[in-house]
Amino acid sequence: MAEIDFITALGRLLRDGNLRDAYAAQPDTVAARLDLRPEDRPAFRQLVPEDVEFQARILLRKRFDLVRRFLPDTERRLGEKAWPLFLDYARVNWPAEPRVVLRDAFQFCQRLREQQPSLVCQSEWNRLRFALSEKSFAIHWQLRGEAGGTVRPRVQIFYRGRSRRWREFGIMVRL
Amino acid sequence: MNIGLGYRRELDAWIDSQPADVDCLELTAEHFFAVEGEPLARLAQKFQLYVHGLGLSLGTPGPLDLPRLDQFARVVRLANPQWISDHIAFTRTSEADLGHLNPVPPTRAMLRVIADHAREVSERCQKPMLLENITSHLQLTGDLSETDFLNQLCERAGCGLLLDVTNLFINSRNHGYDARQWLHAIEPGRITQLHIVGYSRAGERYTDSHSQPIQEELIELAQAVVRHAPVQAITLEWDEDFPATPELELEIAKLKRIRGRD
Repeated sequence: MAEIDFITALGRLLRDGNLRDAYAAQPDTVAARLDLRPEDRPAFRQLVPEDVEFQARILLRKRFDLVRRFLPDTERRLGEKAWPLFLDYARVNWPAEPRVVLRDAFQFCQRLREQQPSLVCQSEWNRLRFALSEKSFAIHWQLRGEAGGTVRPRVQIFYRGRSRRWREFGIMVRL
Repeated sequence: MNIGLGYRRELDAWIDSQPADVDCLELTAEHFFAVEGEPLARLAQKFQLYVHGLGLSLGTPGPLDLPRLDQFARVVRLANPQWISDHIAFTRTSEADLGHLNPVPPTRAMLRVIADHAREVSERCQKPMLLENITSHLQLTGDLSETDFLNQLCERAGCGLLLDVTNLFINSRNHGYDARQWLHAIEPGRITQLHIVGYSRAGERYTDSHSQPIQEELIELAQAVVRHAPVQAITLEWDEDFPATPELELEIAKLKRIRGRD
Protein backbone atom coordinates (compact mmCIF):
# COMPACT_ATOMS: atom_id res chain seq x y z
CA MET A 1 0.00 0.00 0.00
CA ALA A 2 1.35 3.46 -0.93
CA GLU A 3 1.93 6.04 1.79
CA ILE A 4 -0.67 8.78 1.95
CA ASP A 5 -0.27 12.52 2.53
CA PHE A 6 -1.71 14.60 5.37
CA ILE A 7 -4.65 15.92 3.32
CA THR A 8 -5.72 12.40 2.30
CA ALA A 9 -5.43 11.21 5.90
CA LEU A 10 -7.42 14.16 7.27
CA GLY A 11 -10.02 13.58 4.55
CA ARG A 12 -10.42 9.97 5.68
CA LEU A 13 -10.87 11.05 9.29
CA LEU A 14 -13.45 13.66 8.33
CA ARG A 15 -15.63 11.25 6.39
CA ASP A 16 -15.46 8.19 8.60
CA GLY A 17 -16.95 8.40 12.11
CA ASN A 18 -15.58 5.00 13.11
CA LEU A 19 -12.07 6.10 12.18
CA ARG A 20 -12.54 9.29 14.24
CA ASP A 21 -13.59 7.18 17.23
CA ALA A 22 -10.51 5.00 16.77
CA TYR A 23 -8.29 8.10 16.46
CA ALA A 24 -9.72 9.56 19.65
CA ALA A 25 -8.91 6.33 21.49
CA GLN A 26 -5.53 5.48 19.93
CA PRO A 27 -4.10 8.16 17.63
CA ASP A 28 -0.72 6.44 17.12
CA THR A 29 -2.35 3.20 16.05
CA VAL A 30 -4.55 5.02 13.53
CA ALA A 31 -1.61 7.02 12.15
CA ALA A 32 0.31 3.76 11.63
CA ARG A 33 -2.71 1.98 10.12
CA LEU A 34 -3.22 4.83 7.61
CA ASP A 35 0.38 4.47 6.42
CA LEU A 36 0.89 8.22 6.62
CA ARG A 37 4.08 9.73 5.20
CA PRO A 38 6.62 10.12 8.04
CA GLU A 39 6.95 13.89 7.48
CA ASP A 40 3.18 14.33 7.94
CA ARG A 41 2.85 12.28 11.14
CA PRO A 42 3.67 15.06 13.66
CA ALA A 43 0.93 17.32 12.26
CA PHE A 44 -1.54 14.43 12.18
CA ARG A 45 -0.76 13.49 15.79
CA GLN A 46 -1.55 17.04 16.88
CA LEU A 47 -5.13 16.90 15.64
CA VAL A 48 -7.53 17.33 18.57
CA PRO A 49 -10.27 14.67 18.33
CA GLU A 50 -13.04 17.03 19.53
CA ASP A 51 -12.05 19.59 16.87
CA VAL A 52 -11.96 16.92 14.15
CA GLU A 53 -15.43 15.80 15.21
CA PHE A 54 -16.70 19.40 15.11
CA GLN A 55 -15.29 19.93 11.61
CA ALA A 56 -16.79 16.59 10.52
CA ARG A 57 -20.19 17.71 11.84
CA ILE A 58 -19.96 20.81 9.65
CA LEU A 59 -19.44 18.59 6.59
CA LEU A 60 -22.32 16.34 7.68
CA ARG A 61 -24.63 19.32 8.12
CA LYS A 62 -23.74 20.53 4.60
CA ARG A 63 -24.60 17.06 3.28
CA PHE A 64 -27.90 17.08 5.14
CA ASP A 65 -28.80 20.50 3.73
CA LEU A 66 -28.27 19.17 0.20
CA VAL A 67 -30.06 15.86 0.77
CA ARG A 68 -33.16 17.41 2.37
CA ARG A 69 -33.90 19.32 -0.87
CA PHE A 70 -34.78 15.95 -2.45
CA LEU A 71 -36.85 14.84 0.53
CA PRO A 72 -39.19 17.63 1.71
CA ASP A 73 -42.14 15.33 2.49
CA THR A 74 -39.93 12.72 4.16
CA GLU A 75 -38.34 15.44 6.26
CA ARG A 76 -41.81 16.67 7.25
CA ARG A 77 -42.67 13.14 8.43
CA LEU A 78 -39.44 12.82 10.38
CA GLY A 79 -39.79 16.24 12.02
CA GLU A 80 -37.10 16.90 14.61
CA LYS A 81 -35.77 13.36 14.19
CA ALA A 82 -34.61 14.11 10.63
CA TRP A 83 -31.16 15.47 11.54
CA PRO A 84 -30.31 12.84 14.22
CA LEU A 85 -31.43 10.05 11.89
CA PHE A 86 -29.35 11.48 9.06
CA LEU A 87 -26.37 11.83 11.39
CA ASP A 88 -26.74 8.21 12.46
CA TYR A 89 -26.67 7.12 8.80
CA ALA A 90 -24.12 9.59 7.44
CA ARG A 91 -21.49 9.44 10.15
CA VAL A 92 -20.17 6.13 8.79
CA ASN A 93 -21.39 6.29 5.17
CA TRP A 94 -19.90 8.51 2.51
CA PRO A 95 -21.51 8.22 -0.94
CA ALA A 96 -19.31 7.55 -3.94
CA GLU A 97 -19.10 9.84 -6.98
CA PRO A 98 -20.68 10.62 -9.36
CA ARG A 99 -24.07 12.09 -8.44
CA VAL A 100 -23.08 12.22 -4.81
CA VAL A 101 -26.12 14.08 -3.47
CA LEU A 102 -28.65 11.85 -5.23
CA ARG A 103 -26.87 8.74 -3.98
CA ASP A 104 -26.71 10.19 -0.50
CA ALA A 105 -30.45 10.88 -0.48
CA PHE A 106 -31.16 7.41 -1.87
CA GLN A 107 -28.96 5.63 0.66
CA PHE A 108 -30.43 7.64 3.53
CA CYS A 109 -33.94 6.63 2.42
CA GLN A 110 -32.79 3.04 2.06
CA ARG A 111 -31.59 3.11 5.66
CA LEU A 112 -34.87 4.67 6.84
CA ARG A 113 -36.92 2.07 4.96
CA GLU A 114 -34.97 -0.73 6.65
CA GLN A 115 -36.02 0.74 9.99
CA GLN A 116 -39.60 1.60 9.10
CA PRO A 117 -40.82 1.92 5.47
CA SER A 118 -43.51 4.43 6.36
CA LEU A 119 -40.85 6.98 7.35
CA VAL A 120 -40.07 7.61 3.67
CA CYS A 121 -42.41 9.42 1.30
CA GLN A 122 -43.12 6.93 -1.49
CA SER A 123 -43.16 9.57 -4.28
CA GLU A 124 -39.71 10.81 -3.27
CA TRP A 125 -38.38 7.26 -3.06
CA ASN A 126 -39.74 6.50 -6.54
CA ARG A 127 -38.18 9.70 -7.89
CA LEU A 128 -34.75 8.91 -6.45
CA ARG A 129 -34.82 5.35 -7.78
CA PHE A 130 -35.73 6.54 -11.28
CA ALA A 131 -33.18 9.38 -11.25
CA LEU A 132 -30.38 6.94 -10.40
CA SER A 133 -31.54 4.29 -12.86
CA GLU A 134 -31.04 4.05 -16.60
CA LYS A 135 -34.74 3.32 -17.21
CA SER A 136 -36.64 5.16 -19.92
CA PHE A 137 -40.04 4.82 -18.32
CA ALA A 138 -41.66 3.97 -14.98
CA ILE A 139 -45.17 4.18 -13.60
CA HIS A 140 -46.28 3.90 -9.97
CA TRP A 141 -49.72 3.67 -8.44
CA GLN A 142 -50.03 5.13 -4.98
CA LEU A 143 -53.16 4.79 -2.91
CA ARG A 144 -51.92 7.55 -0.62
CA GLY A 145 -49.89 9.65 -3.01
CA GLU A 146 -48.30 12.83 -1.65
CA ALA A 147 -47.65 15.97 -3.62
CA GLY A 148 -46.98 19.31 -1.99
CA GLY A 149 -48.59 18.23 1.27
CA THR A 150 -51.78 16.87 -0.36
CA VAL A 151 -52.59 13.17 0.10
CA ARG A 152 -54.71 11.44 -2.54
CA PRO A 153 -54.60 8.39 -4.83
CA ARG A 154 -52.04 9.23 -7.46
CA VAL A 155 -50.35 7.89 -10.57
CA GLN A 156 -46.69 8.90 -10.79
CA ILE A 157 -45.07 8.61 -14.23
CA PHE A 158 -41.40 9.09 -15.15
CA TYR A 159 -40.10 9.45 -18.68
CA ARG A 160 -36.48 9.74 -19.84
CA GLY A 161 -35.79 11.08 -23.34
CA ARG A 162 -32.89 10.48 -25.70
CA SER A 163 -30.91 13.32 -24.11
CA ARG A 164 -31.10 11.25 -20.87
CA ARG A 165 -32.91 14.14 -19.16
CA TRP A 166 -36.04 12.93 -17.43
CA ARG A 167 -39.44 14.33 -16.59
CA GLU A 168 -42.13 13.46 -14.08
CA PHE A 169 -45.89 13.60 -14.43
CA GLY A 170 -48.40 13.15 -11.63
CA ILE A 171 -52.10 12.46 -11.96
CA MET A 172 -54.16 12.84 -8.81
CA VAL A 173 -57.15 10.47 -8.86
CA ARG A 174 -60.53 11.21 -7.26
CA LEU A 175 -62.08 7.85 -6.33
CA MET B 1 -13.41 51.27 -1.98
CA ASN B 2 -16.27 49.42 -3.64
CA ILE B 3 -19.16 48.21 -1.50
CA GLY B 4 -21.24 45.23 -2.47
CA LEU B 5 -22.45 41.77 -1.71
CA GLY B 6 -22.34 38.18 -2.79
CA TYR B 7 -24.92 37.68 -5.53
CA ARG B 8 -27.61 35.19 -4.48
CA ARG B 9 -30.68 34.29 -6.51
CA GLU B 10 -32.87 34.97 -3.46
CA LEU B 11 -31.78 38.63 -3.59
CA ASP B 12 -32.33 38.97 -7.34
CA ALA B 13 -35.29 41.38 -7.15
CA TRP B 14 -33.45 43.77 -4.83
CA ILE B 15 -30.23 43.57 -6.85
CA ASP B 16 -32.21 44.14 -10.04
CA SER B 17 -33.45 47.44 -8.59
CA GLN B 18 -29.79 48.53 -8.65
CA PRO B 19 -29.53 49.84 -5.06
CA ALA B 20 -27.64 53.14 -5.01
CA ASP B 21 -25.08 52.05 -2.39
CA VAL B 22 -24.10 48.81 -4.10
CA ASP B 23 -21.11 49.20 -6.43
CA CYS B 24 -20.09 45.60 -6.90
CA LEU B 25 -21.26 42.00 -6.83
CA GLU B 26 -19.33 38.86 -6.10
CA LEU B 27 -20.56 35.90 -8.13
CA THR B 28 -20.07 32.40 -6.81
CA ALA B 29 -18.69 30.59 -9.84
CA GLU B 30 -20.37 27.26 -9.02
CA HIS B 31 -23.81 28.90 -9.04
CA PHE B 32 -23.27 29.80 -12.71
CA PHE B 33 -21.78 26.56 -14.05
CA ALA B 34 -25.08 25.67 -15.77
CA VAL B 35 -26.15 29.23 -16.59
CA GLU B 36 -25.96 30.81 -20.03
CA GLY B 37 -24.15 34.10 -20.58
CA GLU B 38 -27.06 36.55 -20.70
CA PRO B 39 -27.69 36.94 -16.93
CA LEU B 40 -23.98 37.48 -16.37
CA ALA B 41 -23.78 40.10 -19.10
CA ARG B 42 -26.79 41.87 -17.57
CA LEU B 43 -25.14 42.00 -14.14
CA ALA B 44 -21.84 43.14 -15.66
CA GLN B 45 -23.59 46.15 -17.22
CA LYS B 46 -24.77 47.35 -13.80
CA PHE B 47 -22.04 46.36 -11.35
CA GLN B 48 -18.32 45.77 -11.00
CA LEU B 49 -18.09 41.96 -10.76
CA TYR B 50 -15.74 39.56 -8.98
CA VAL B 51 -15.87 35.78 -9.45
CA HIS B 52 -15.42 33.68 -6.33
CA GLY B 53 -14.86 29.91 -6.32
CA LEU B 54 -15.83 27.42 -3.65
CA GLY B 55 -14.49 24.19 -5.01
CA LEU B 56 -11.22 24.50 -6.93
CA SER B 57 -9.67 22.81 -3.88
CA LEU B 58 -6.35 24.60 -4.23
CA GLY B 59 -4.93 22.73 -1.23
CA THR B 60 -5.29 19.24 -2.68
CA PRO B 61 -1.87 17.88 -3.66
CA GLY B 62 -1.69 16.79 -7.28
CA PRO B 63 -3.27 18.28 -10.37
CA LEU B 64 -6.30 20.58 -10.26
CA ASP B 65 -9.68 19.15 -11.24
CA LEU B 66 -9.50 20.24 -14.89
CA PRO B 67 -13.19 19.88 -15.83
CA ARG B 68 -14.04 22.08 -12.84
CA LEU B 69 -11.35 24.58 -13.80
CA ASP B 70 -12.85 24.67 -17.32
CA GLN B 71 -16.26 25.50 -15.85
CA PHE B 72 -14.75 28.14 -13.58
CA ALA B 73 -12.88 29.71 -16.51
CA ARG B 74 -16.07 29.76 -18.59
CA VAL B 75 -17.88 31.79 -15.90
CA VAL B 76 -14.90 34.16 -15.69
CA ARG B 77 -14.92 34.63 -19.46
CA LEU B 78 -18.64 35.46 -19.44
CA ALA B 79 -18.54 37.76 -16.39
CA ASN B 80 -15.24 39.49 -17.15
CA PRO B 81 -14.58 40.28 -13.45
CA GLN B 82 -11.94 42.61 -12.07
CA TRP B 83 -10.43 39.67 -10.19
CA ILE B 84 -11.12 36.07 -9.21
CA SER B 85 -10.75 34.26 -5.90
CA ASP B 86 -10.96 30.95 -4.06
CA HIS B 87 -10.06 29.65 -0.62
CA ILE B 88 -6.89 28.56 1.14
CA ALA B 89 -8.41 25.17 1.75
CA PHE B 90 -9.20 21.75 0.35
CA THR B 91 -12.67 20.47 -0.52
CA ARG B 92 -11.62 17.13 -1.97
CA THR B 93 -8.84 14.62 -1.52
CA SER B 94 -7.42 12.16 -4.02
CA GLU B 95 -10.14 9.79 -2.79
CA ALA B 96 -13.35 11.77 -2.26
CA ASP B 97 -15.19 15.05 -2.56
CA LEU B 98 -15.82 16.38 0.95
CA GLY B 99 -18.29 19.00 -0.25
CA HIS B 100 -17.01 21.87 1.87
CA LEU B 101 -13.92 23.84 2.85
CA ASN B 102 -11.35 22.25 5.14
CA PRO B 103 -8.15 23.79 6.50
CA VAL B 104 -4.62 23.13 5.29
CA PRO B 105 -1.49 23.00 7.48
CA PRO B 106 0.81 26.06 7.28
CA THR B 107 3.79 24.22 5.86
CA ARG B 108 6.26 25.07 3.10
CA ALA B 109 5.12 22.01 1.17
CA MET B 110 1.49 23.18 1.27
CA LEU B 111 2.56 26.68 0.34
CA ARG B 112 4.04 25.29 -2.90
CA VAL B 113 0.89 23.28 -3.66
CA ILE B 114 -1.50 26.23 -3.26
CA ALA B 115 0.78 28.78 -4.90
CA ASP B 116 1.26 26.58 -7.97
CA HIS B 117 -2.49 25.95 -8.21
CA ALA B 118 -3.34 29.64 -7.77
CA ARG B 119 -0.89 30.62 -10.51
CA GLU B 120 -2.40 27.98 -12.80
CA VAL B 121 -5.94 29.28 -12.20
CA SER B 122 -4.89 32.90 -12.67
CA GLU B 123 -3.04 32.13 -15.92
CA ARG B 124 -5.88 30.02 -17.24
CA CYS B 125 -8.45 32.76 -16.53
CA GLN B 126 -6.13 35.65 -17.39
CA LYS B 127 -7.25 37.50 -14.26
CA PRO B 128 -5.58 38.54 -10.98
CA MET B 129 -6.28 36.04 -8.21
CA LEU B 130 -7.08 36.54 -4.52
CA LEU B 131 -6.85 33.85 -1.85
CA GLU B 132 -9.23 33.77 1.11
CA ASN B 133 -8.66 32.69 4.72
CA ILE B 134 -11.30 30.23 6.01
CA THR B 135 -12.89 29.47 9.36
CA SER B 136 -11.22 26.45 10.89
CA HIS B 137 -12.22 24.51 13.95
CA LEU B 138 -8.97 22.58 13.58
CA GLN B 139 -5.79 24.35 14.58
CA LEU B 140 -3.27 22.80 12.23
CA THR B 141 0.42 23.21 12.84
CA GLY B 142 3.30 23.43 10.42
CA ASP B 143 6.75 24.88 9.96
CA LEU B 144 5.33 28.42 9.49
CA SER B 145 3.02 30.64 11.51
CA GLU B 146 -0.33 31.28 9.79
CA THR B 147 0.57 34.90 9.01
CA ASP B 148 4.00 33.98 7.60
CA PHE B 149 2.27 31.29 5.57
CA LEU B 150 -0.21 33.79 4.11
CA ASN B 151 2.43 36.44 3.36
CA GLN B 152 4.74 33.93 1.67
CA LEU B 153 1.84 32.28 -0.16
CA CYS B 154 0.68 35.58 -1.66
CA GLU B 155 4.26 36.44 -2.60
CA ARG B 156 4.96 33.09 -4.25
CA ALA B 157 1.60 32.90 -6.01
CA GLY B 158 1.58 36.56 -7.05
CA CYS B 159 -1.86 36.85 -5.45
CA GLY B 160 -3.75 39.26 -3.24
CA LEU B 161 -5.51 38.33 -0.02
CA LEU B 162 -9.27 38.22 0.28
CA LEU B 163 -9.45 38.75 4.02
CA ASP B 164 -12.62 37.36 5.53
CA VAL B 165 -12.94 39.54 8.62
CA THR B 166 -15.60 37.28 10.13
CA ASN B 167 -13.40 34.21 9.71
CA LEU B 168 -10.47 36.04 11.30
CA PHE B 169 -12.65 37.06 14.23
CA ILE B 170 -14.10 33.55 14.67
CA ASN B 171 -10.72 31.83 14.51
CA SER B 172 -9.20 34.33 16.95
CA ARG B 173 -11.99 33.66 19.46
CA ASN B 174 -12.01 29.87 19.03
CA HIS B 175 -8.24 29.51 19.12
CA GLY B 176 -7.50 32.26 21.64
CA TYR B 177 -5.32 34.82 19.84
CA ASP B 178 -5.45 38.55 19.22
CA ALA B 179 -7.04 39.33 15.84
CA ARG B 180 -5.43 42.78 15.61
CA GLN B 181 -1.96 41.38 16.32
CA TRP B 182 -2.61 38.78 13.59
CA LEU B 183 -3.75 41.54 11.23
CA HIS B 184 -0.62 43.62 11.76
CA ALA B 185 1.56 40.63 10.89
CA ILE B 186 -0.04 40.53 7.42
CA GLU B 187 1.62 42.46 4.59
CA PRO B 188 -0.91 45.32 4.08
CA GLY B 189 -0.35 45.65 0.33
CA ARG B 190 -1.72 42.14 -0.18
CA ILE B 191 -5.16 42.78 1.36
CA THR B 192 -7.37 43.60 -1.61
CA GLN B 193 -10.91 42.59 -0.69
CA LEU B 194 -12.84 41.94 2.53
CA HIS B 195 -15.69 39.54 3.24
CA ILE B 196 -17.96 40.18 6.19
CA VAL B 197 -21.19 38.85 7.73
CA GLY B 198 -22.31 38.33 11.32
CA TYR B 199 -20.97 35.38 13.28
CA SER B 200 -23.07 32.76 15.13
CA ARG B 201 -22.50 30.76 18.31
CA ALA B 202 -22.78 26.99 18.83
CA GLY B 203 -22.25 26.43 22.53
CA GLU B 204 -18.75 27.65 23.36
CA ARG B 205 -17.73 27.93 19.74
CA TYR B 206 -18.08 30.78 17.29
CA THR B 207 -19.28 29.68 13.83
CA ASP B 208 -19.96 31.18 10.41
CA SER B 209 -23.57 30.46 9.50
CA HIS B 210 -23.61 33.40 7.04
CA SER B 211 -27.06 34.37 8.27
CA GLN B 212 -26.57 36.99 10.99
CA PRO B 213 -26.37 40.80 10.99
CA ILE B 214 -22.83 42.17 11.33
CA GLN B 215 -22.01 42.69 15.01
CA GLU B 216 -20.28 45.81 16.35
CA GLU B 217 -16.99 44.06 17.17
CA LEU B 218 -16.77 42.90 13.55
CA ILE B 219 -17.31 46.45 12.31
CA GLU B 220 -14.49 47.63 14.58
CA LEU B 221 -12.16 44.88 13.35
CA ALA B 222 -13.00 45.65 9.71
CA GLN B 223 -12.32 49.35 10.36
CA ALA B 224 -8.93 48.35 11.73
CA VAL B 225 -8.26 46.41 8.52
CA VAL B 226 -9.22 49.41 6.39
CA ARG B 227 -6.83 51.61 8.37
CA HIS B 228 -4.07 48.99 7.94
CA ALA B 229 -4.43 48.14 4.26
CA PRO B 230 -5.42 49.66 0.90
CA VAL B 231 -8.62 47.60 0.62
CA GLN B 232 -10.36 47.95 -2.75
CA ALA B 233 -13.68 46.23 -2.04
CA ILE B 234 -15.80 44.94 0.82
CA THR B 235 -18.63 42.48 0.22
CA LEU B 236 -21.39 41.19 2.45
CA GLU B 237 -21.51 37.40 2.39
CA TRP B 238 -25.05 36.39 3.37
CA ASP B 239 -26.05 32.83 2.37
CA GLU B 240 -29.06 31.69 4.45
CA ASP B 241 -32.24 33.08 6.02
CA PHE B 242 -32.09 36.11 3.76
CA PRO B 243 -33.20 39.37 5.36
CA ALA B 244 -35.89 41.69 4.01
CA THR B 245 -34.82 44.79 2.09
CA PRO B 246 -34.73 47.21 5.08
CA GLU B 247 -32.44 44.86 7.03
CA LEU B 248 -30.28 44.34 3.97
CA GLU B 249 -29.94 48.10 3.54
CA LEU B 250 -28.91 48.36 7.18
CA GLU B 251 -26.12 45.84 6.52
CA ILE B 252 -24.95 47.81 3.49
CA ALA B 253 -24.96 50.95 5.66
CA LYS B 254 -22.59 49.12 8.04
CA LEU B 255 -20.21 48.52 5.13
CA LYS B 256 -20.31 52.25 4.42
CA ARG B 257 -19.36 52.89 8.07
CA ILE B 258 -16.42 50.54 7.63
CA ARG B 259 -15.34 52.41 4.51
CA GLY B 260 -15.32 55.51 6.68
CA ARG B 261 -16.31 58.28 4.31
CA ASP B 262 -20.01 58.22 5.15
